[in-house]
Amino acid sequence: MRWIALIIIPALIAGLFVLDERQRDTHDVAISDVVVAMPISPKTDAFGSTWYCAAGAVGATGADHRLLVANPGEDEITAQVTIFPAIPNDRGSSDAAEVIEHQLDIPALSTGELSMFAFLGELDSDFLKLAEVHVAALVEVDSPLAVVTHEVSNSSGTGMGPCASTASGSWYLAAGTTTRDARMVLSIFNPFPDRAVVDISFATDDGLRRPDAYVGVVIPGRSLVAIDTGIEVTRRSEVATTVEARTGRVVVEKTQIFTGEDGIDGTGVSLAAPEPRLQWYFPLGSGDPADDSATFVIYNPTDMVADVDLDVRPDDATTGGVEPFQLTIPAGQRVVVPVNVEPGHPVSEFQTVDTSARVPADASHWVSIRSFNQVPVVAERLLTRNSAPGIGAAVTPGAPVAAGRQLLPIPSGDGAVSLGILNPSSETIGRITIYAISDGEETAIAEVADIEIAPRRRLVVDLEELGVAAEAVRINATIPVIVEASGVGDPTDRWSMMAVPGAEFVSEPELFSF
Amino acid sequence: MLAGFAAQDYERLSVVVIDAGSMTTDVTTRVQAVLPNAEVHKMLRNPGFASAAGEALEVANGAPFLALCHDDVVPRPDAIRLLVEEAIRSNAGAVGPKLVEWENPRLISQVGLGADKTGALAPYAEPGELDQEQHDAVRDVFALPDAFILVRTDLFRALRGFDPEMKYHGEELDFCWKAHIAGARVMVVPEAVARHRERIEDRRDDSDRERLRRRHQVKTLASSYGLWHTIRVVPQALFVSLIEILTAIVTLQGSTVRSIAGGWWWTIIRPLTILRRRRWIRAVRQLSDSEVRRFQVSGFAPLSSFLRGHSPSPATTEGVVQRSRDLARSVRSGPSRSAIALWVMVALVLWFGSRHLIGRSIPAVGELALFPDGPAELFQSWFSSWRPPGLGSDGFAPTAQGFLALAGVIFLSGMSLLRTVLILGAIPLGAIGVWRALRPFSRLTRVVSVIGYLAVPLPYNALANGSWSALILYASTPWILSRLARAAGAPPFDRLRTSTVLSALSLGLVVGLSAAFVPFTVAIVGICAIGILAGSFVAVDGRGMGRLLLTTLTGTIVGLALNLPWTADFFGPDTTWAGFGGSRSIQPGTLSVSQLLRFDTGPLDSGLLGWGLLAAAALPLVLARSWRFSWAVRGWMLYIASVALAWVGQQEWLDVGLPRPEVLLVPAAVGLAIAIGMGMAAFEIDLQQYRFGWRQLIPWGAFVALIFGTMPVLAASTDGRWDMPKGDFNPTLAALDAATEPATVRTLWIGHADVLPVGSWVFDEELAFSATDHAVPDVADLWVGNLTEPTDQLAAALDLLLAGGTSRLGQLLAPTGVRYIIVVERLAPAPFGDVVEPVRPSLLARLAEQLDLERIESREGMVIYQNTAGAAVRSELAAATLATAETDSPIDAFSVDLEDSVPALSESSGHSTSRGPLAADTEMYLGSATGNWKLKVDDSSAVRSETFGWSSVYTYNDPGAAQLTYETPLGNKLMMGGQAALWIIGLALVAKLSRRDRDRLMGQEVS
Repeated sequence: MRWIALIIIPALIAGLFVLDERQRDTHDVAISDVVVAMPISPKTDAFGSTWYCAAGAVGATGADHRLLVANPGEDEITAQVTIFPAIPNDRGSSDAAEVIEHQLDIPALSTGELSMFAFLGELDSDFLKLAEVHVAALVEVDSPLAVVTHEVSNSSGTGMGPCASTASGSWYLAAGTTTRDARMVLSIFNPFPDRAVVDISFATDDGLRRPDAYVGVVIPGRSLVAIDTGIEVTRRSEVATTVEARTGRVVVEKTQIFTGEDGIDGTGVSLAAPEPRLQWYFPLGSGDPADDSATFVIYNPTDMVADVDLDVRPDDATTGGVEPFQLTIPAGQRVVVPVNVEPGHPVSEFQTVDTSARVPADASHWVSIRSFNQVPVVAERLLTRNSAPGIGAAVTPGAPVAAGRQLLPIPSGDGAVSLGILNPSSETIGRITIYAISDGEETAIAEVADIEIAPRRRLVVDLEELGVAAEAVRINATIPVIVEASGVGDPTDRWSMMAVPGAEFVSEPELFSF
Repeated sequence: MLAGFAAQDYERLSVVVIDAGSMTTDVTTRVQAVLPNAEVHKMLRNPGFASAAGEALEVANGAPFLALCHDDVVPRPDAIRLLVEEAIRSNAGAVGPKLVEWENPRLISQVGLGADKTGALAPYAEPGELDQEQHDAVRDVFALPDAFILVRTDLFRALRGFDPEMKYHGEELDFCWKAHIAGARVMVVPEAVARHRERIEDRRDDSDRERLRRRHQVKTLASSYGLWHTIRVVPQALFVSLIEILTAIVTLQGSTVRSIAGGWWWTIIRPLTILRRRRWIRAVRQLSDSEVRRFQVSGFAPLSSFLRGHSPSPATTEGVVQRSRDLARSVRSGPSRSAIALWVMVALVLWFGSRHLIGRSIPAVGELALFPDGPAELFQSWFSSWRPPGLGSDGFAPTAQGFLALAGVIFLSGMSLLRTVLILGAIPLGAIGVWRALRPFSRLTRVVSVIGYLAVPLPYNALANGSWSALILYASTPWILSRLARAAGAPPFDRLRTSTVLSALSLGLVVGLSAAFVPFTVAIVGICAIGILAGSFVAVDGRGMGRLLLTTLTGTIVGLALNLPWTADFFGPDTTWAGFGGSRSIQPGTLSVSQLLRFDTGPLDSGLLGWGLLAAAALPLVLARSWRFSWAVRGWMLYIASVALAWVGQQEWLDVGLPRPEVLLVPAAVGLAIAIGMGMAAFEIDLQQYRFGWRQLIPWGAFVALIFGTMPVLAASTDGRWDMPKGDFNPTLAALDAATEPATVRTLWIGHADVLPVGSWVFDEELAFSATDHAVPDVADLWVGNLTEPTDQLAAALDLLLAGGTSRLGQLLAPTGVRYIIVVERLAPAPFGDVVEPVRPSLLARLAEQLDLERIESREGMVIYQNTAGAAVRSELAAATLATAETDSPIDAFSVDLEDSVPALSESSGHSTSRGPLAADTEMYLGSATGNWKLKVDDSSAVRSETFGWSSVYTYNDPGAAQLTYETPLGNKLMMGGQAALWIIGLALVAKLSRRDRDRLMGQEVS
């Protein structure tokens, strides 16, 4: 009976080998964390949400940092606001002052606001005697549904953007201007108990710059450090920035101020991107060159060359397609792509692509940016206008993700608000409904209830035209969409920002192919 | 004998016969019938030979020499004359004849005795050696057998004769050593011959021979050297004794262990006697120790003897000759020599490979946790129903803690040594298990099997991966298999087949002992049974398989029963798999079949050479016949079943995670060792039945393959630590413990179960978690039990953290007392060790974003956060902070600020009591999930109320000295007592039944 064993034993071992080979293929799928490179509100089963509003200042010149806390829920919520002041010093940086806490109650289905200028002025009028005090805010809300944005205003205008919902060890800003008429202030906020040490570097026309003063910058625990980069960085039309933490995690936000000396007068606030991505979307693109001048800046912070396409998609199908701009971005460098720019709009002379021949001047459009060689990049858009109405500037990072539900607080008094809703899917038709939240009520806007959006198309909604004056809008969609809003701030500054997705509804759009 | 003295040609001979308490009355008559002038000196009782010889001095009447002689020695007629002549000629103090065997005078019994520096005897002639006059030169020797010795009377008197305390065995060495010290020559005169009957056992119960010999040897050693040599030599002697003890343990000679250890103990407890002897010897000393040493043999006689294949303890007197001759004969035979060589080699390789682990310490990585300072804490932990893991619970401690406490007592609280023995000793214990399991097979078969078992990389990888479970199973599985094989009684085990009851009980004891540490042992028994059954099926040899199944079932039940009430946890409604299978589970798709087949589960990667063991195991499949073939196939099927299970465990087909591959592959190692051994059996028995041909070449190929197969292990031994990390995290963790009040805070552990230094519960497929009431883990933290509802809060908190649901984790965890959160990503700090299990980046990111966690610097591989939200297990709060607050559920932690709480009752006393003062207008919070803690403040009971849905807050009226005590329910105490009784009864039953079974087997053999 020896042969039975001589057959069975080798057969069993061989069988194991065969099965192993088959099964092994199924284990090759790596599990990775989805890191969202933009602010999102947490899942609905969270105990609350925490927001970090890094950029902003108050001061004798009337500068204000206003927080907007949108409550889309049906219960009153409480936001515990911790304010971190930082007083500028003569080294172009700032020194942290004592933190101040404040509680803000927000009724159901409404938006709460906190003007730090007013609050700090009431608390200690000495604050307002200083020309400028940078103030960051940590906002802990006892509801996961809430969304916090902030408005930064000064004598040059108003900038708006969502506060950060996460901290990171690295942050990237593609756009930035340090010309004579511009100030670029980096607010580095460390709300955590541990200190952070960061290195700051810049990609300029002269290549990579790493000023000594910005190497090993210590951000003490629970403090804000605001850096006016013009002190150390030479005057440049376009500067890309990388902030890398050696230890700790921080939040980095940029305040871009144009003083009007060379035409542009405005303020933009822009949260840095915590990581480069393969794809970015900008749903709103104006078709009137007199309206807005836009410059897209694509920054490659990696050490490999990125092959990137910038695709300008006109709304009007009869216009015909625009061939994508194929960009090669060297490691550690950025490329500037101006679209329909007017004189006075800051454009670098280096690494700049001329688009005027291909993009029709009157074509309203949306823009996508996609890396094709798996080297991720960061994209940001500078929007300027030097004539009324809506004079000013806005700096907006692109949206890397889409979501089926998003929320957008709208500053009070901003009537001319446009929403751009983009369906990034290549095949699926999406249906959307927009709800207006105001005065404790949430109502679907009839004109935009269950509206269809074709694949790779966008819907632009002018709330002013619809007569909607909401404190916030909620966008529900049957598929993940990307939502951007823009408007004219108070006094008349242009602003633009992406809506804030809910974590449960976030997904990565399928990679664009052209 | 009397006639022999009557025939002496020495004219001035006077004979004195000492009647040492004989019961007969006709001694004088019988003596005087042969020696009319002889004097008979009667003693009322037998004081032993040494004292009796001392009586000779009383009646010497001025004789210059005394010839002391046993009553079973017959000297040749010229013997005394020759001895006297030589004593005078050489000015010797003591001389002795050549002793020859009684029955055959051509065989030498003894011709003087040598001794090494420790006093171990080394005879000059091989007992039973043919007398060819090769020893016939007169020479100085170190000692003479007192069977016949001629001494100068003045010397004998000056040296006070033999030590009266040394009644038998060893007195001659002691006397001769003293003679040397006194400057006297001790010589052997081979021309003088005496026959020696050597039948002391006919006259007294000589079973204590070895015990007396050891005892007297140590006494002589301790008292004969001067101070400097004592300091030098005694430690060496102690070391040799330890080696002898280890050898005796390995060869299962319990009486030898007792004799050696008893010898030292007997001497140690007589310090005054030794000091007096030393003082007296100093007074008579004429020669320095260095000069005396010239007469001693070099080296260590026991080791030299062992290496030469001699008995290590050749006694000088009766009865030894036959034993020595038997041993010498057996040593000459090949298999026995190979067995001795095997164990020497095994000991050397294991010592060499573990030398840094033995000499320094075994790093506390994975399951190789430190032991507490003494056994008391373990005992209390075992007996108490308070289970600290997680947030604490009521329950029963694993039996292992009781065993470790018991072992700690045996090791005289040497817990560090105990830990080393229990970890490193598993490897030789497993090898011994294989040796014992294959008792019916030839020695060479067993030798080859043991080599095969030791050559698999499994135990060394288990060490490097910190898997104590695998090591314990590596030690116990061969013993389990041995019981199964004997129970089945399949040839050749039919000769050793035990009764069903004994089989079940003895298997149950082994399973119970192993399962006390590794509950998964129960499954391993099943795998062994299935493998053997499958093998029997494939080999078409099903003899005894019914008995095998029955024994497996009953033995497993007994094993589980012996671990009651702890094992009851495995069958309750809240049972979690980790309690039984452990949380260190096999990872999906990490090891290929090829790696599993070669046991390459860790840093010891056998590579291509690993196939050598399989090649060697293939030999019997081709050559073996009969039961050799059956057992080879059984070994192979056991091997395949075990490998297949490890492979299936990686496929995520099961709802539960099977244990680490080292654990699952232990039966495979045993199966492979059996198959390899059967190759040797086939070589010995079956090969000669084949005609000359290609089959004759196969064994040589298998031999070469086996050599190759052992190479990886031999190579791995060179680093002296089996690739174990050179450090652990304990220095970092100890600093955390030092920074807090003892046991007032908890540590939350997060990471992959394989790298966590504590037992853990599964969180998801990547992460596990646990909580301990100290930062430096100890062995008691390995068994976490079932996941209770309160402890599940920790998982809920972790879930919330990962979902980004909170930025105040510290506040959420504050009521749980979690002060430290430790994320572990490596088995040992970088750069030590290869086991790295990074956690998902989002976990670290989320932790870094908590507003109330502060990071503490630590070594790479461990991320530590301190909770700044005031967490403590026992804390003192302002009155009415919790007692009146609405804190019904864990989530209410967000509404309570514990930041100002103060750790309380930090004075711990044992496992379940703590004390300290409590101030006025306060309440005490206790973050332990049980109501069995009772608080007394100045002997008044505090009122307990539940808070957060699981913990306690105590209120009291007045401040004062407080004591918090865990009260183990009486029923639980009785059950623990019952468990101890069950073990004792089980052991006693097995001992009794084994004796009966042994008698039965011997009866069968005789018939």
